[in-house]
Amino acid sequence: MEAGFTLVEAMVVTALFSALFGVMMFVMQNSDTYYTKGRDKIAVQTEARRIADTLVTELRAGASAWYWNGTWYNLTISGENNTRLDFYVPVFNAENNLSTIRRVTYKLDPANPYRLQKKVGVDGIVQNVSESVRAIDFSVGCDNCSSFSCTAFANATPDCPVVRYNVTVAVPVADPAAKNFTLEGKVFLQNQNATVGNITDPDDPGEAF
Amino acid sequence: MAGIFGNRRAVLLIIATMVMAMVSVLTGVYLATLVTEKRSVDDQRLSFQAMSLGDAGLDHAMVELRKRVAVDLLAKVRSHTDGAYFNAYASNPLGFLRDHAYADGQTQFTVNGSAAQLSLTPYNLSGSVTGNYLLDYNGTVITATAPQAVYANTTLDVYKFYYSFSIESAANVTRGIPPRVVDGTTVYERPVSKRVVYAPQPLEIDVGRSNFAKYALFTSHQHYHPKDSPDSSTTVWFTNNTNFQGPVHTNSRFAFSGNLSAHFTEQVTQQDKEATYNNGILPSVSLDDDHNGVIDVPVFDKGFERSVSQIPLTPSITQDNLKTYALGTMADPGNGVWVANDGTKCVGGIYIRGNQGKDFDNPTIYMRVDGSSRQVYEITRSGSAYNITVDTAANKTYVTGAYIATFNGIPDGATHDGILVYVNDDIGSLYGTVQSGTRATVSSERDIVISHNLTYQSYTPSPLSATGTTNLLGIISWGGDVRIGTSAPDNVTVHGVIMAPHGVFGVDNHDDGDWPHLGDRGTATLLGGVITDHYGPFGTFYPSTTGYGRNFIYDGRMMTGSAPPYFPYMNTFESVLVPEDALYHKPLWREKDN
Repeated sequence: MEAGFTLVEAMVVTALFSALFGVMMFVMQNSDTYYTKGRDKIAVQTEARRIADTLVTELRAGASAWYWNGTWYNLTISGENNTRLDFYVPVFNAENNLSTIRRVTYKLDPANPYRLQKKVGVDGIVQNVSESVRAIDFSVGCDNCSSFSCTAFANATPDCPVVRYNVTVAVPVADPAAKNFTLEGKVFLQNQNATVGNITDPDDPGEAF
Repeated sequence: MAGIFGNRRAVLLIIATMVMAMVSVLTGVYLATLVTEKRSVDDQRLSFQAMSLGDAGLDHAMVELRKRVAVDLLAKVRSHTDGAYFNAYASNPLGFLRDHAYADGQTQFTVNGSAAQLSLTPYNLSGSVTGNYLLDYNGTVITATAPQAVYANTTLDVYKFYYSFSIESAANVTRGIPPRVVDGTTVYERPVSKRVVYAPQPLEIDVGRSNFAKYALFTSHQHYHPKDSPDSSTTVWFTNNTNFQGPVHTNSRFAFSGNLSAHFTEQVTQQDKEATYNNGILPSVSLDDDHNGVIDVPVFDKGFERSVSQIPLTPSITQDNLKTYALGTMADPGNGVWVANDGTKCVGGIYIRGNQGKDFDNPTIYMRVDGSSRQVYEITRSGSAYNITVDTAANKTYVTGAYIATFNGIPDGATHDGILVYVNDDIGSLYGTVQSGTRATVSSERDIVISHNLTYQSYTPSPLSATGTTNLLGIISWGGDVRIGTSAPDNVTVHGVIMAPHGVFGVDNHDDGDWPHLGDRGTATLLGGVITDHYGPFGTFYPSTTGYGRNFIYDGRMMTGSAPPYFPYMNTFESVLVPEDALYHKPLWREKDN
């Protein structure tokens, strides 16, 4: 007859297994926490970059002001805390010639302050660029780019034709515990001193949006 | 206990292995997300790099185009003297670009149908960039079209070529250089590409004969012959008081003194091989050089070219031509002051005829602006006064005073180039104000005496400039001198381009040797240029200061093809960009889909 485990041996083994299981659970839980944090961090950064990409691609082709038929079409920053950006981009025809200029507007949705919206031209639908914006603001360069505290360019050919954006994103945005990620960038306006001649009327829905 | 549970170490090993496996999986997942994130950031960075590279391609193309049009094309145009050569391109403007917009040995534009294209070879940037990247902008192409027919005026030898140019630049950034080799095959990573474009931009190139007005100073002989001693010759030294802001040429040689010596902002050319240098206390020396050691060192911002071909001061427009332009279809009416007309309208310019060699009827011409912003020429000759009012807006000319008449049109000569005043005599006095919209030339067969300030209505006083204005005056003495008279005030100011192909631009009694003794008269300021046979005297500085010091400011408009009306041309051609800064404005930019 083989000898069985003593009670002490059984308790020791159980204790050992419990301890090992506890360690294992601790490791797994921590790993999961770190993984979740990392994933959220990537998600929030990706979202911020996506917003920036959308904005930068359009803004880069803009100008501080376009002059057409006796009227200036300026880049403007408005809204509470400078959250609204209006600017005009060139529209080219098949021959690569300028056919008109078109207003582009970025602003936060009054009905949902986490939602960044965009509208392009008169016929453009209102697009939701992001639902995860905790804050956004715009400003322009002044004093030879020594400062970015201005909200309007000094003149049609400014000494610093650069727009600064500052966007703060959180995922999920409604969770107060969700960490913010802030991305700040500056965009050089490639088109300057843009007096335009023979074009059709600007595609400009005005301030309605 | 039998089996693995009978071995406690085996149990622990299994548990440890399980834990390690789980940790490894989680770590792997974490690292994978990090790698993905890095990749995403890299893509964004490479995208910006590609965009910047594309912009570099555009900028390279703009600089190249600027050089080809402003330098290479101009040099080739200058080598021709026959207008028929350019007229032959009137039906082939793209061919004109192809055949002229390149330096010897450079690639030319290729004409294909309705477009001319030039592909640029990019600078090799990879070697100067740290990191394992391959950078290039290998798709940079300048495309030119000719949207408008060439304007060709074979009478005036003016040819205007109209183009539209656009630039496209594709840029790639490839990471992972050198590439991987997999199973013997070289594998490059897919490059990040961007394509940027400068939208079509108009470009006008005007070709025409060079005008003498383009010179800040032009002399056939760079020395001074006193009138009372024509056989003697005095060297004119350029010192540190001499500054010229436009092209300077002589068909003889220049002389320089001092370190620092004169300063020239544009090219200086002379026909002689050697220039004269004062050489301090030693005898002067002749050198085929742009300085004399450290003793005489003039400053040439754009070089000092010697041994250039002679530029004959035999203008394409002669005195007789100008007289014909002034009379138009009207026969020579004899002595008097005339607006050339056919009874109802102007057919030429203002023609003044007198008794040559007799001072009593030398006309006085006072140019003024009336209350309606019209140019008025108050002309007094032989005791009779005439007011000729040119109303450009109404296209009418009113004559009052000794003769009263109204004519349709304005006295802008036979070819309507601008207001033309022609005098077959000396002009005893010329002064006043050139109305802001007036382009005029006052021409005389003999001497012209500037008796008071003669200025433009529109100009910038400091720094003195007429850039951006229309008012422009030419003063031509065909057979005599242009002189600043003794009645001119101290610190006299003259705005205009002065030409005396057989004389000088000088100052009466500059050495105070005659009555009235005026002593030091300050500085004579000229806004324009001087084209003369000899260099004229303005004053002396030893043993005492007499006459005027020179303050000659070049009228920069002359560098870009402007010239007073009917101002004489040379036999060579020149090309100018219209507007002059056409290739200095950044065209409309856009990012294009690949």
